Amino acid sequence: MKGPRADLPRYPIAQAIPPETLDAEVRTLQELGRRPVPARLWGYMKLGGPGFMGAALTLGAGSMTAAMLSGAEFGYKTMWLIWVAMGLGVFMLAVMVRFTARGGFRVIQEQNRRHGWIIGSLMTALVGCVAVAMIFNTGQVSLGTHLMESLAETIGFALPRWTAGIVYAVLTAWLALSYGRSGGRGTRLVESGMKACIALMLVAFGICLALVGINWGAALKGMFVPWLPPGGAGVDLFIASSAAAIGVMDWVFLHYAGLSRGWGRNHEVLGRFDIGMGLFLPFVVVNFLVIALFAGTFFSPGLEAPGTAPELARALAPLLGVRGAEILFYVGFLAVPVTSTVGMSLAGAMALHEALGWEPNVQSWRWKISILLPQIGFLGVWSDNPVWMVIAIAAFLSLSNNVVGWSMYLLFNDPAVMGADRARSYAWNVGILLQITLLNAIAIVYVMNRFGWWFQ
Amino acid sequence: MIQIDRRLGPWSLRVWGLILNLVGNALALFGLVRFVEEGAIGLLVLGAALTVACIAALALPSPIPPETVQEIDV
Repeated sequence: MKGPRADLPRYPIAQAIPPETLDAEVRTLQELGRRPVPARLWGYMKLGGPGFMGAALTLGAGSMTAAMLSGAEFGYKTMWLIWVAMGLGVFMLAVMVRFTARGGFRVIQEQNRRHGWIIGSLMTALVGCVAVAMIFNTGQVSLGTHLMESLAETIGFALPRWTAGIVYAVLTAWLALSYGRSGGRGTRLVESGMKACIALMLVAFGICLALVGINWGAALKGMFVPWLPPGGAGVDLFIASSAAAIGVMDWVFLHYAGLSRGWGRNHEVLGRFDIGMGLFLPFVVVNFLVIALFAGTFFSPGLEAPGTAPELARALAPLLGVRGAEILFYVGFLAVPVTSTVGMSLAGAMALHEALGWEPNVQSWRWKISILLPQIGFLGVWSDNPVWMVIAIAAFLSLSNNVVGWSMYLLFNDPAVMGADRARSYAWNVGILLQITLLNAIAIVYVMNRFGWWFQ
Repeated sequence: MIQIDRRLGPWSLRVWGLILNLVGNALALFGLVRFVEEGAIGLLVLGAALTVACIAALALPSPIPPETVQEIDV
């Protein structure tokens, strides 16, 4: 049945956590299991973390731009895509939690062992995590520094973007470098910071939406009645939205963030709660708020809204009507790229170490340099994205994400890997395969576009 | 009952099923373009049917021998 690695030592970052702390956490979880649901949920909320980190990572410049444009262009009509996209992603995320809690392995290492280094170290780690973290962080820095500049202007002083860039880099680097330090307290600090930032997004966007107002009838219809623009544009939107919410970096980060917390067999229930309440719900609610904000202000048939996130943010802020709300909007929105940069830095560092066979040591120069690699995104102060690099990475991602998904599905269903803990639920496997099908669609549409076979 | 973990050549039927699913997805997407632009539905139906069949087969969990069942837990 299962291989001999069921008793692997803890992930190195988790080894700094005192055993008595982990034992106390297990006792708390067992006690929570006997308590009423409200008390149990609150307890899980306090103990959770990797799920919230995942939400913070996923809610970035790209997803926010998509939400803003969706609201401005289609009103409330495409809201249903939010929960469909994340809902499909939840099945694979639950697999990652199973790997963390019961696998007894580190997933990229296991991929290398079972499916080869091209799938493990190259596609999953180096392309899916490291390259994505380095290249796409320029977009986060660009958005973050634009927002800081606008915020400063609103408050009444000038902040040059290069200065904003330095502040942004120092803040995100400090947070990311804190992870794993001080016997696990650094990890909890970063997790708490991410939770606070998500709360800030929810409060800030919620207050702004209360000021702008919402057409509840249209919003509820948009949430539950599927609608797509006609023709190829609709198919493009469905495929891109459905597959883009959750990807390789999210899967890998959730797995290793759980390992960094020392999660084991007793933590699978907590891990599933963390996915639901820490990742799924915040993602859906924040996207709902942002789409509704822009649907309520910019959506008007025939009207062309600004095309980039900074332009959209600048255009929206004065419409809030109250200076305090403008400031709150910028602050809440600033939490988006900041948390994404921190998440990307951690995911990239974890993946780089796995790809190259290094043991992560947060005190080492290797770890610190790996954490800081995405800070090359500082170039985003002057340029939104290095276009040619984005195109190259996006091409490789489009053609490899589905293969990584196949690898995860195979590991999950392999008796030699998971033993009795392998997939036993038909419905769970259907969910995973639907996500894989969407990832396949991304790859196929990419090739069809290259050959001019897709909708023109 | 499909022996989904049986090996066929270099790979298991699961791997072949994933490849076949990819083929079905491609046929469905080509078929979608043809349906929207020309009204021809055949390729779309074929691709969709192949996709559904592959998912239905690939979703089968590997059977667990009775003597190794531990706690019943999804």
